[in-house]
Amino acid sequence: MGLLAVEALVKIVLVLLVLVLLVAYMTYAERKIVGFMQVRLGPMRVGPWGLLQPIADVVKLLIKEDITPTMVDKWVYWIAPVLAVVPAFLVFSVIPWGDSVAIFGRQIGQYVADINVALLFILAVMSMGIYGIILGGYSSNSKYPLLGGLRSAAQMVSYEVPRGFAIIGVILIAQSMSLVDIVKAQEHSRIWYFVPQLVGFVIYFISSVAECNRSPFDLPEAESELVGGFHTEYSGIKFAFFFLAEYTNMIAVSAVAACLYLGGWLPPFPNWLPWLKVVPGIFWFLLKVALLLYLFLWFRATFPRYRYDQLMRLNWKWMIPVSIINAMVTGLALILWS
Amino acid sequence: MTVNEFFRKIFFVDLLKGMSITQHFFNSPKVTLQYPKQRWNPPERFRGVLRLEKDKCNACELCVKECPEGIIKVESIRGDDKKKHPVTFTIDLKRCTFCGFCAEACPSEALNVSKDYELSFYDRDDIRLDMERLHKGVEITPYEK
Repeated sequence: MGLLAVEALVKIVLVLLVLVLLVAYMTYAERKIVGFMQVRLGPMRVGPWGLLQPIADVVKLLIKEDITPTMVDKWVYWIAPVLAVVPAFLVFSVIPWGDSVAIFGRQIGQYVADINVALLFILAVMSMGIYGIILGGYSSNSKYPLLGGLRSAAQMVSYEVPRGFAIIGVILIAQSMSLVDIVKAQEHSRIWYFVPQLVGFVIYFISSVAECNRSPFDLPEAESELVGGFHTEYSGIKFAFFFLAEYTNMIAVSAVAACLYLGGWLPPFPNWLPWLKVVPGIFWFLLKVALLLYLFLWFRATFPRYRYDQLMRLNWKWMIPVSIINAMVTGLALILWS
Repeated sequence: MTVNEFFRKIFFVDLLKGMSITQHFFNSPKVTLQYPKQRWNPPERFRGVLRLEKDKCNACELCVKECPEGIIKVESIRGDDKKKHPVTFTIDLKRCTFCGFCAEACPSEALNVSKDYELSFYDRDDIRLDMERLHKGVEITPYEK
């Protein structure tokens, strides 16, 4: 029991540290990649190729004065950033990043926890993140944050529906909700689920972009119309928390997508290139996550922001019907083939 | 919506085209000039700050007459060789439009247009260039890092 606790603690600390570092360098990657796509260089001055820029940014945000505007709802104002950040990190407790390995004769799984309702847990925890944004917008006692909060409430609640339906297809094929089992099912069937579930994958990814409030669905923080959206009144460390939550959410949905549709830690082409198995699984996992994150940034550099009615129309008139049909067709096909 | 448009929409044809364009720019060479490390070379006919060769100047004050902004001030004395020499020669760069008419008007080619473009100062009085600074050129603090 003691050993189990130590093992879990070590894993939690490792995951948290790696995540915070990943988020920091995600901001660097974003500025660099979006800069490159706009024929600029991005940050170049802090360290070689601007590599120390995220660290400078973090230090700046930490030592900035922590302003609480007058007339804000103090308790809610304080708790909102925390409510945004905690669910984003919680998702990573069920995400596996490799097959279990034997260390000192003990089988150690490369995940913090493998629960049998992992997908349900992820959906539930991720939808908690909305509270942080709504409460942050409401408590700021300012019209732009309130408008941003309202928009995000409608947007995130709507886009959760097609995402849930899209995942059903994977659950039906893998017959499990545990992410470890889903990846193992993909290993067993020798095909990654983005092939039979291409429609589901596309819907999952688009609604994930909307869930993370990322461009082209970044209405809650549309800077040209809402100043900064829900975090207009936030500065310093509290703002950093919202920032952390947004980027952690991006990494989380990418990691879940990698597990569900892209075979998690499995190397590609097991039939033709069997020698790829010598590369540790975490490399493949991180590669897939990085590719999906690159897509996020690519979208941001390419697409203009959706109008509010377009956003809702895309969801209710296209994504939800298509995702329901996708789930039904998957079920039918499974019945017919078995 | 025609059938063609419908299929364009569901297969994200336009979106993918847009993404291919941004990816093309991602791979293309960048236009950023990292200024203090790399310096910009002005083109041949660039008109920067003015330079005065004070030995050639005979204080004819044609530049003063030509200047559309009236920012050139010249005072002169007649020397022992019966020729005029400038004593003070100031240009107030605050209002200079870098038109180059003064240099064009100069009969003795004492006043010239140079290619120096780094003209930011810590003190607003530094913007008024006197004869010495016009002769030597505006001093530039070199970047060391």
